[in-house]
Amino acid sequence: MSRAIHIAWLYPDILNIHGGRGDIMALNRIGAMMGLDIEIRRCESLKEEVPFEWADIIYMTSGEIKCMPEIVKALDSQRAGLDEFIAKGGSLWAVGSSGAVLGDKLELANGNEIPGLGLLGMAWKERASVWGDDLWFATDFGFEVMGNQIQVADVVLAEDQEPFGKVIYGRGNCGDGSEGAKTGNVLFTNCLGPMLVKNPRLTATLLKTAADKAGIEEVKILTDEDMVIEDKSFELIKKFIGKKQA
Amino acid sequence: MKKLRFFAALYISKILAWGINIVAKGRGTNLPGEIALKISPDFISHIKGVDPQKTIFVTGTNGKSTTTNLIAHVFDKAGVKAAVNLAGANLLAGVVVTLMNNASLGGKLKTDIILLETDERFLPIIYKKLPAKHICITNVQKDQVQRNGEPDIIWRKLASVIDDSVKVYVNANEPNALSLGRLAGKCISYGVEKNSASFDKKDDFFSVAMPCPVCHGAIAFDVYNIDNVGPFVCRDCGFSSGEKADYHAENVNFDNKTFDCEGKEYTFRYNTPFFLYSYIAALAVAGEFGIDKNVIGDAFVDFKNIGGRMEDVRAGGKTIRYIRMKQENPETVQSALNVIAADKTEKLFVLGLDELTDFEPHYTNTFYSYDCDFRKVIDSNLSHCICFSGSVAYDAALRLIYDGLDTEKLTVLPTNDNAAIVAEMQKHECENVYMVTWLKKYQSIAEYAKKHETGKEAE
Repeated sequence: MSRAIHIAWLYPDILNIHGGRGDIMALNRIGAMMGLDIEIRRCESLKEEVPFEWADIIYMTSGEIKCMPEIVKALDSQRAGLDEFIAKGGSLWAVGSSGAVLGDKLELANGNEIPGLGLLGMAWKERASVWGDDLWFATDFGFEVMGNQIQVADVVLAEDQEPFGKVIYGRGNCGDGSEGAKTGNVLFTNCLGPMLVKNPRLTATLLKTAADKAGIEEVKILTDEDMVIEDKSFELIKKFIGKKQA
Repeated sequence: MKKLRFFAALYISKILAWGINIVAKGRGTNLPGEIALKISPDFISHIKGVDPQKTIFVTGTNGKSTTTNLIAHVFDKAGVKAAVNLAGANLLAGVVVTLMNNASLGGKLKTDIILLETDERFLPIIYKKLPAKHICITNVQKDQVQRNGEPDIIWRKLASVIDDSVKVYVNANEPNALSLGRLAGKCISYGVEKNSASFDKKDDFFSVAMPCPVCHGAIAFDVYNIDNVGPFVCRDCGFSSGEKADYHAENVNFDNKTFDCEGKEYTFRYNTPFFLYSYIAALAVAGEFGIDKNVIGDAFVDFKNIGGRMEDVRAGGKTIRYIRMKQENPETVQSALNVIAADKTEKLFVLGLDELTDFEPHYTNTFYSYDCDFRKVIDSNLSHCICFSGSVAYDAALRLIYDGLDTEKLTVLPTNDNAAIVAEMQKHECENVYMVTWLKKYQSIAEYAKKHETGKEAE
C-alpha cells in the first residue's frame, strides 16, 4: 500500500488573494483523478513549524506583497528544514507576489528593501501601477500554460536564472519574454487562473514529481478525455487573445 | 486673476450643466466639472462656505453609494441641507459638479454640509482639494484587481489622508477598515452582531480568511455576517473587532426587517445582511452629527435606494430574477449567491461571468470566483445550470464543477448572443430562474427580452 502525496499549504488565511485556493483544490481533484491519495495540511500561523520532513509539495498561493517580509522571516527561521526539503527533491512552488519570498530581494514602493530567501535569482521591485492581463506561455514540460496575471511588482531574473517559461502572450516577469523562474523543483510563476485548475497537465506534472519522490509507482496518466473542458477553455481564450492582437 | 478664472469656471460649468440637463435630464455627468477644473484648477478652494469640519466623505470598496444615499436621506429628513453627489459621480470632477450645483452665482455654498461618495482610489487627490474631516469607510476588500491589485494598495491610499485631525467612521467587522481607525484622531466604529444570516466556513477545508492589517498574521472570523465581514480576531497579535462597536446592530430580525441599537428599534427596508451595514454606518454618521434617533428611525422606514440590487425581467416566458454583482469583486458575487441559496425552491441558475472590459487590456479573469463558495447554491435545489460567455464560459463551468455540480446538470454556452441565451433558458421547464452576471450584460439581455416578450404577447 503506497502512501499519500503530502501537501503543505502555507498560510492560507494570509496568502488569500486572486482565488489562489483553487490551486489547492486542483491538486486535490486532479490527484484523485490520477488515483493518488492526497493529504493536505494547512499551515495557519507564521509561528507554526512547517512540516518539511512530512511534505512532498509546499505550496504558496498568491498573497499581498505587504505580507512577504513576515513570511521570509518565518521561513528563514526554519532554514535548515527548508534547505533539506529542497535537497531531497521536494517541490516548493509560489504563485504571484508570494514568489518574492523565494527571490533575492524585494524593493517596496516606500523604498524599503527586503531580502528574500535567495532560492531563485530574482530581484523584485514594486510597481507604481498594477498590470493585469492574460498570460500565455510555453514551458519545457512540453505543453503551454494559460492564465492571467496581476502584477504589482516587476521581476528581473539574474543572468544565470532559468525562467519557468517563455511568454507567448502577456507581460510575464517584466515584459522581457521570460515568465517565472525555476531551479530544480523550486518554482515561481506569475500565472493566476487558478493556474492549476486551468492547466491540469501542469497540475499532473507537479503531482507526478511528488509521487516519484514519495516512491509511489501507481499513477494514472491523464488523457485528453480527462481535460475536455479545460482544453475548450484554452482554445476559447486563445481566440480571445487573437482578437486582442488583431 | 485666479478669482476671475474661478467665476468664469463657475458660470461656464453652470451653463453647461443646465444644457446637459435639458438634453439628458437626470443623467449625472462629470463634463462640467472637468471643464471647470481646466479653467480653474483651484476651483474648490474658491467656493465660500466650504468647511472641512462639515464635510463627510464616504469611501471604501463596496456599499459607498447606498450608504451615501442613506445618510443623505437622513439629513434631508432632519432638515439639514447637504450638497451630495447622489448620481455617484465620485471622482474629483464629480465633486466639483456637486459643489458647483450647490453654489450661488456669487460662489457661496448654499448648504449646511457636504456629503460625498468618494472613489477610494482617488481619495488622496480629492482630499488635497477638499480635506474632509469626517471619513466614513465601508470596507477595503478585493475589487477590480486589474487596477487595484490587492486590498492593501487601497488601504495605503486611504491611510495617506487619515491623521489626528480626521474623525473616521469605520466598519468594526471588517479588519482593514477598522485598522484605519487607529490612524485617526477620533474613531467611531459600527458593526453588526451575529444573527440568523451569519455563517461560518468550518465545513470548508479550502476556505481562506485574510491577513491582519496590523501584523500581517492570520485573521480568524468567529462568524461571517457577510463574506469577510464579521466578528474577528488576529491569531497572532490579537487585533480584533472588540466586544461591541460604538454603533452596534443587535437583535437583527430579517423577517420583521428590524434591528436594535442602543435600546431603540430601527426598521430597515432592504433586509439583506449586505445592506444592514449601510444602515448602521448611516446611523453612526447621523448620530455623531447630532441627528435625533427618532428622525433617523423614521428616515430608515421610507428610504428608497437608487438602483436596486435585484430586478426581475420576463424572458422566454419565464421571470428571470437578476441579482447585481460586480465582476472581480468576490464579496458582491458571494452576496448574490447567498440570496439564491436562501431560496430552496427548484431553480434554473444562469451564470454569465465574462471577460473584463473596464480597462485596457481586456482580459479573461474568472479567478475571483474561487474566492466565492458556490456549494450552497448547488445544494439549493438546482434543476439545471447554464454558463454563458463568449470567452470564459468553460472557466465558469469549471468553477461549478469544482464545487460539486453534476455535469449532467450543466450546459456550457460559449457565446454572448442574447437570442441563444434566452433560447437555452426556454429549453428548461423550471420557471424559477436566477441570473448572475455583470450589469451591462443583464441590461442587454433584458432589453432583448423586453423586445421579444412584447412581440410574443402581441402575437
